[in-house]
Amino acid sequence: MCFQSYALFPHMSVWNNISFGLKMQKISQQEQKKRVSKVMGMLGIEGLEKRKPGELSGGQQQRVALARAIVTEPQVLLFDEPLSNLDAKLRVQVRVEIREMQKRLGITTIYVTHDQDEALAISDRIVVMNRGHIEQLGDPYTIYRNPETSFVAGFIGLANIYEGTIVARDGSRYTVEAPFGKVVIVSDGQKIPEASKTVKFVWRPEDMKIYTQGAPNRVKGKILQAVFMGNITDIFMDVQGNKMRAQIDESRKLITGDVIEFSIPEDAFSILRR
Amino acid sequence: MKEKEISPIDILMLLSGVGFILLFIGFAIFLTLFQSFGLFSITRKSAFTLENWKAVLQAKEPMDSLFFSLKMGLLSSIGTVVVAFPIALFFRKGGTGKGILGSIIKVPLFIPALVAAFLILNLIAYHGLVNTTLMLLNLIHEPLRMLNDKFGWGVVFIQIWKNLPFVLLIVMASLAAIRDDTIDAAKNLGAGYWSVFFRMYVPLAMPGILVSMILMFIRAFGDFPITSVAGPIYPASMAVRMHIMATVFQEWDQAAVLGVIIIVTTFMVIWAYSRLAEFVKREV
Repeated sequence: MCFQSYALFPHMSVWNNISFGLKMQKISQQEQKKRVSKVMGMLGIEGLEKRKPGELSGGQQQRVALARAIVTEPQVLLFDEPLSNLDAKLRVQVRVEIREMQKRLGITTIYVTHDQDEALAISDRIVVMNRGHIEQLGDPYTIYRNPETSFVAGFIGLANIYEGTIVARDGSRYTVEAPFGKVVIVSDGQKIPEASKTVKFVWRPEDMKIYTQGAPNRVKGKILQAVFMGNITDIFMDVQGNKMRAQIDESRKLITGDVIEFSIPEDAFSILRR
Repeated sequence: MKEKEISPIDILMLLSGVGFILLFIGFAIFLTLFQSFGLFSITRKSAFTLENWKAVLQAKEPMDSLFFSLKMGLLSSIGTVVVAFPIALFFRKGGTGKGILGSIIKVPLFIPALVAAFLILNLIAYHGLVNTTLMLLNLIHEPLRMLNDKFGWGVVFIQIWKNLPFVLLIVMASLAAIRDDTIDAAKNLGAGYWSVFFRMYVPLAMPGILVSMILMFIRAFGDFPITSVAGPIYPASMAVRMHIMATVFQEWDQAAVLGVIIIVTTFMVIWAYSRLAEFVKREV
């Protein structure tokens, strides 16, 4: 297990920390030496053997904790938010290293995190849990593109979540009467209730496009706040009294009070179970 | 950051604490040292002499007392820590009834040493409660000599009983500083109960253990009330011998020599323990 706080043994050197599990398993001294040297090399922490955890940086401590966890070659590895104590840049770097190392060693790994980017970047499969219950299980793409519940939609990524009534159906295309107007949703194999039933649906802010002639699902709103973030502009807007969020790659400067028209692709929607 | 210069006001404020130590404790130590060499003598004319030291160092009794006191200091300090550590470990985590139990165990802390000695005396005396019970249970046929025994086990027993809560407080504080996830990590890596105990709890609580041992040693080594009540007839402890030397034999200067030996031994033990603490910190 790799702990959130690293849980390194403060009174032991890096070498003794890493070899602790091997000592407990009564592995021979020679084998201990071989395995510890190997993982230290793998994680790039050679030369730190004699240092105590208190003399290491956060990133080094993280690597020692990782080395200690993998040196015993466990069948399953559990990471409990291992990167939460690192700064943003180091977090990205170490998570790539963890992913690479996990692939190389082939150890089944359960990785607990509250960081959605981390979850998406590091996983083959994600289990989204809420109050001890599984909300959804799937690969990162499915979890992000087709969330099944409003909790998953809101937890992984940003989301516009609304409720509406199905007023018409044309094959796999459904027309839903939403508080901000009618929208057409393409079901994409999802189970959609019969007409006149209320449905909850979601779409991502980055799916919203500046409206062009003929584009579907046209929504017109007033900008409440536009936050320029370099590569995108994060827009908080009011659409007929409803709050909506859009993220667009827009070169012109948008200011509060501007009226802007968006369209939402029909296949951008996901119907939610609850 | 620029260091602030010490102003006369700062010195004045320090005087209440440091001044007291310098004036009374420092003065007393130096006076004892001078008296051991015949200076500022209470009973004789003040003159430098090595006779007091010769008399004490050449006699058998003071040396026996020194070794007895060293033995009591060492055994009491080790014994108290050995008894206190598992109890502190038990109290490390809260639980039903542990609060009340913790309060009860601290009772000896508030009982004066002399009273404590008399209390225990009733228990372990030749015709005390322990011997009577053991006799009634037919476990022994004649009472055991636990009090005023030649080795000093009675003294060690009372020292442990009396100072247990004091050591417990220090060791508990050390154990409380150990993070739960450190222990969990050790268990997760396959450490069993004894491995966790000896490889985690003991070394991580070592600073507290060493401080407890130093303080316990000083208490037991210089103890007067407990050894005077429960100690052997011979040898007397250093403190008891010092008392006898001064009040019975009226050899105040030789008593001062014993006083200096107590002080020097104490300092030497503190130095040795601090070196040991450094070693433990470096090596464990």
